[in-house]
Amino acid sequence: MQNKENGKLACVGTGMKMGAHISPIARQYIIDADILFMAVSNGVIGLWLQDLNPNCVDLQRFYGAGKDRKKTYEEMIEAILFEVRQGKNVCAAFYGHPGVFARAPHEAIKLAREEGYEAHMEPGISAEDCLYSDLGIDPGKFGCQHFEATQFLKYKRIVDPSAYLILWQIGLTGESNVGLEYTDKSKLGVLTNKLSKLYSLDHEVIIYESGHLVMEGFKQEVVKLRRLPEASTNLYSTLIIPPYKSLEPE
Amino acid sequence: MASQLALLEKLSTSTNFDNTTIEDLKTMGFSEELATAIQEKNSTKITELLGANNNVSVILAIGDDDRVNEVTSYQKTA
Repeated sequence: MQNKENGKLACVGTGMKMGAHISPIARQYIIDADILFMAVSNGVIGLWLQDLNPNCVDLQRFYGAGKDRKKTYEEMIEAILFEVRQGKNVCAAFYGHPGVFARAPHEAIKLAREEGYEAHMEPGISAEDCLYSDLGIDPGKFGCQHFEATQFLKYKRIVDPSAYLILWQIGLTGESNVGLEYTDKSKLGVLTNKLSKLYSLDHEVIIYESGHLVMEGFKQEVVKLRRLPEASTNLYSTLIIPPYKSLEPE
Repeated sequence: MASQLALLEKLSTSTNFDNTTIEDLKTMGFSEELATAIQEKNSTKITELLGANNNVSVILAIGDDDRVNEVTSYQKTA
């Protein structure tokens, strides 16, 4: 059964820190939904969302060891769209910002609209937002480039060493998109080698992770670039490389 | 009575968390065990006490995104 008059989708961000970083309207979409899908970074945040809306499906169920994440995301999208096609008011809540480094929300909204359903996105406070606050970085001061770490490794990119360089998903550098396998020192070594063509190995870089619960502060580890392969990283780690060169006037 | 999760959400918007005592947390309605874990900033214990999943591994983007060769297009508004 398809009910295009009633079926609708809101992809919302929960923000990074439980309860503190969610917008009032995103929270209300979660409460009002006939069914809630969620993909969150912390089990307590998952429980909180279930408390707000008990008819909740955890999208983590679609991950699997050895499973291509493209397949995982396709299944997430299909599960969400199935409920929209039933004429339900569907909310899908994703940690951080649902449109930043998140494939399923963009694709689900696009597909729902193509099928004639109302679909939109509500932002959340992202890891990028937290990073600027926690580390005191103003991206407007020197400029700021962002790349996904594996993509940065694979492709030729024009990097400006007089600006900040931020590499996301550093903990998955060089990964194969299969399951959720952490990177290893050798891949971070390859990344370090690429960066060494632009930066001194003595240049200090920052590995950052925002907090998830009220009592958790952010984490930052400052290391010289040469020590990056030995640094501790996880799924939510981000690498910040401060400017290395001065701005050159035209 | 508000659930412990609702209380935790309320606490998340506190502007004075670092000065919150176990007694303050118990007055809010937290159980003693949870109040202690919160005050000690013990996320692992909080997760355990609430019975939350302690094995969350969610990542939402593909590193080597196969869409990189798509022509850039912006979604039309609904």
